[in-house]
Amino acid sequence: MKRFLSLFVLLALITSCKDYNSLDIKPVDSGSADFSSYVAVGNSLTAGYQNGALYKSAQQYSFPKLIARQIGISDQFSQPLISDPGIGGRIELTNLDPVETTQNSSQGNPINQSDKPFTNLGIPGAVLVDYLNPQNSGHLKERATDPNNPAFNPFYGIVMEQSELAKSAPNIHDQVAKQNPTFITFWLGNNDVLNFVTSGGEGQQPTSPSNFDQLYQGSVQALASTGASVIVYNIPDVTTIPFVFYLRTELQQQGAIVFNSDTQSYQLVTPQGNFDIYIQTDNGNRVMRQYDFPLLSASSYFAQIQAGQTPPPIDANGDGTPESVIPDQLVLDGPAGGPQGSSELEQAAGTVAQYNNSIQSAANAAGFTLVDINGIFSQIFSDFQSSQGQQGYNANGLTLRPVPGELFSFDGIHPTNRGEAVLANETIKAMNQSFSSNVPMINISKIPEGFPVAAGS
Amino acid sequence: MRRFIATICLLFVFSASAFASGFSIYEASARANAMLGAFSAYAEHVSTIYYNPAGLGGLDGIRFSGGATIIAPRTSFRNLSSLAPLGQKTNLKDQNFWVPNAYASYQINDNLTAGIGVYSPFGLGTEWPSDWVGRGASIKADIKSLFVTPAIGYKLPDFGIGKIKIGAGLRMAVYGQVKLKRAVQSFTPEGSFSLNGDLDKTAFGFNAGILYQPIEAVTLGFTYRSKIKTKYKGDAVFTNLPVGFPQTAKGSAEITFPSSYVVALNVKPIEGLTTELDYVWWGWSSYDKLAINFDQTIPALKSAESPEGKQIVNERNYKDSYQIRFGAEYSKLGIKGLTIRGGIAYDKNPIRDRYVDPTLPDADRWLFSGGLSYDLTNYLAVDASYIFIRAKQRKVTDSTAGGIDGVYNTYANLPSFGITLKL
Repeated sequence: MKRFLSLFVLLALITSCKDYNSLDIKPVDSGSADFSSYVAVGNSLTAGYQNGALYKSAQQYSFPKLIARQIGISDQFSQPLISDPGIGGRIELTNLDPVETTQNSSQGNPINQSDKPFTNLGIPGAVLVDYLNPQNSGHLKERATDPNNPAFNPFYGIVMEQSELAKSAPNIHDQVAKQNPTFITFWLGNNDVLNFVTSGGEGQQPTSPSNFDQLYQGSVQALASTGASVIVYNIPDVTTIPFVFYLRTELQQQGAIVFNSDTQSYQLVTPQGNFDIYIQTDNGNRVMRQYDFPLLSASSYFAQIQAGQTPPPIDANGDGTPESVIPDQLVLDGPAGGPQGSSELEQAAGTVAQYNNSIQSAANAAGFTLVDINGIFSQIFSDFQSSQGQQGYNANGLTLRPVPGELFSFDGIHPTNRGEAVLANETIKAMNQSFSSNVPMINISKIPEGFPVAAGS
Repeated sequence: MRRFIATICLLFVFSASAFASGFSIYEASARANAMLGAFSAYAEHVSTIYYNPAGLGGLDGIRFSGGATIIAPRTSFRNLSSLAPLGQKTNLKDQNFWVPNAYASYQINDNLTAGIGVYSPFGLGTEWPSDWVGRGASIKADIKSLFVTPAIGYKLPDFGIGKIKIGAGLRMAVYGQVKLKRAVQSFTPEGSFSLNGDLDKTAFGFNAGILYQPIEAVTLGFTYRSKIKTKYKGDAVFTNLPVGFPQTAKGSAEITFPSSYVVALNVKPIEGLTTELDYVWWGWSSYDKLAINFDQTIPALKSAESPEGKQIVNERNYKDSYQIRFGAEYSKLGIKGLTIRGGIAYDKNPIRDRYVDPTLPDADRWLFSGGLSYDLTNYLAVDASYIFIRAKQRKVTDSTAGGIDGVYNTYANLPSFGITLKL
């Protein structure tokens, strides 16, 4: 009997002493690539910018950080964190049903500047020329260090090392090369055309496609010289971002505007009837047609019209001359009678197409893997359109439509946390295909939405 | 925005114990614990009111037993989700729970004995650090239950086929408490949700059993315990959630405690030695979902599944499960008044892999026990026992809404003490 009991004691001891806590997490199968040192290059999309600001709560879900977690090097992957509500003026919810937002005027502060150089080198506002900035031809130095420069951008100084910015021709590539990366994601070029789009064609002109092509080839050569496995991304078509298409759809759904198929024009719904909407374009004022997009930045303009604080952009007295028009910078006008290809939409779309050709051929020549984010977004957008706004990106039991609050954050340009996870998964797909690696995909439904909420609302 | 917060998944209301199949607690007396609950054909101790009320039949005199089990679970979690570094470890906060028990019986006549038991068959709790990676699944889950069971046992007249006893009891859930807390990560800054609920009114069920002793050395036992439907009401508090939530709401939830039955075989091969093998079946498949209903519309909860926004439904989809329990007792050690006991058991958990969440990091487990009783006088004995539980490593991937992918490791120590009076 005693032997019997001691057997129990022994069994208990054996099971309690066995160290179950030495769980072997299998290293990720990286195939032909080496993921041990990962550097991400890009702009606000790479930085994890969201809802009009760069802030820590969203940076935790930047797609490069998510990739770093999936390849098991999260601890080594450093980002220039900024305390909430971040820098940029965060758009925050004040009401949920219906959704109402406000912009937070408070700013956050950089948290971990001593961790430089950062492995996430996503710099909000960065353009392609910044990668090499030959002879400071992109004026990166002035834009990064001179607060009085109209194009001053504080993010360069937050992301890059001061020693780099102190050079006469600072560039991002040096920050990459000094970290001896084995794996790089490279996504620049969006801002080369985006500023033109978001300003309704009135801001900076796009980087010329030929210049872009040259810069891209140079960048690819520099990337290749690091010996790292490189993933590059192309540029989404401008009409697939909510900043361009969403407001018009919203106004239609609210019944504030309608499309008159007889006159082939958009009309404002008023108590006196429906009137053609007039827009300002570089070729003069004209009626708003099928390919003209009032931008998300025109939301407050339309709110003022509805509140009677701004005269409506219509020809109310019928004399053929509108009393008011939607200002040019609030509309991306499309083809409507002007010279072929001269509209803002055509210019932007044509530029993006040429950029993407450059990206594709340079990537092919260098043997880099291309993530066709343009193709992916175009598919999502076309599914969304053809389903009357019901469909979107389907994964893990979710349908993320390309609208603010689902795939895109409230700024209409940058993804939500879950949108970042979509970018990460699409990257992982490309990695696994290209490197024969076996990086696990992210369960997107597990990524918290993290919508910013205004304090005290 | 349609799927704004598709599910806020509180899941867990009644979860919690890390120590037995589902959230049941089978540790109902120190003496039974020493034999790991292989006690449903034992019938010589007043805690038979819980294990098999038929054991009351013929239990002589006035008996009393009281004591407590301390449950000290320890669980670690290693992250496999995309929300934190792979393998990051978090420990469940150390908590020790006191689970009391008390039983009394009175012999009415030679064959008929009545008794009453007070015990806690379901419950316990888990608490994780408030900033841990799984905070969106659970920070705290705590449940307490107290059952009172008046029971009666009857020894049938001798039909010449051996001794037969039958018994039954009324299982009343007289007290219950639920406390839950989790982070709400749908918003930045994060908020939290907590619910404090109490049992709305006494809930009723029953147990019934039979003991058959064909020959002196062998006893067969069978016990059935019905399911019990309980309802909880309390206050839901939404902290730091200024948009989409009220500050407080009234919430209610219904939980059905599962039915169970036991088939037991007790054999006394030599003088002084008692051995028992029990098979315990649990009808956990009745726990298919958990719904929390609120007294008002909560905008953040509106979804295609819940257009009113008044309800949170969490799929649980438990499976039926079982335990195999073996215990032995020896009283001829040569020390007068000393009886020693030991046990071993295997406990099959009822939760499917995907549904395991940090409120109840359940797993299949092995249990080992040892214990003793010492008769201080002819009337008074002290009982002590110790159970050690080692759960198998539980790996959760592709977890359901509200869960988190990772690996749980659990062990627990359960010392218990009691006294037994026989007058």
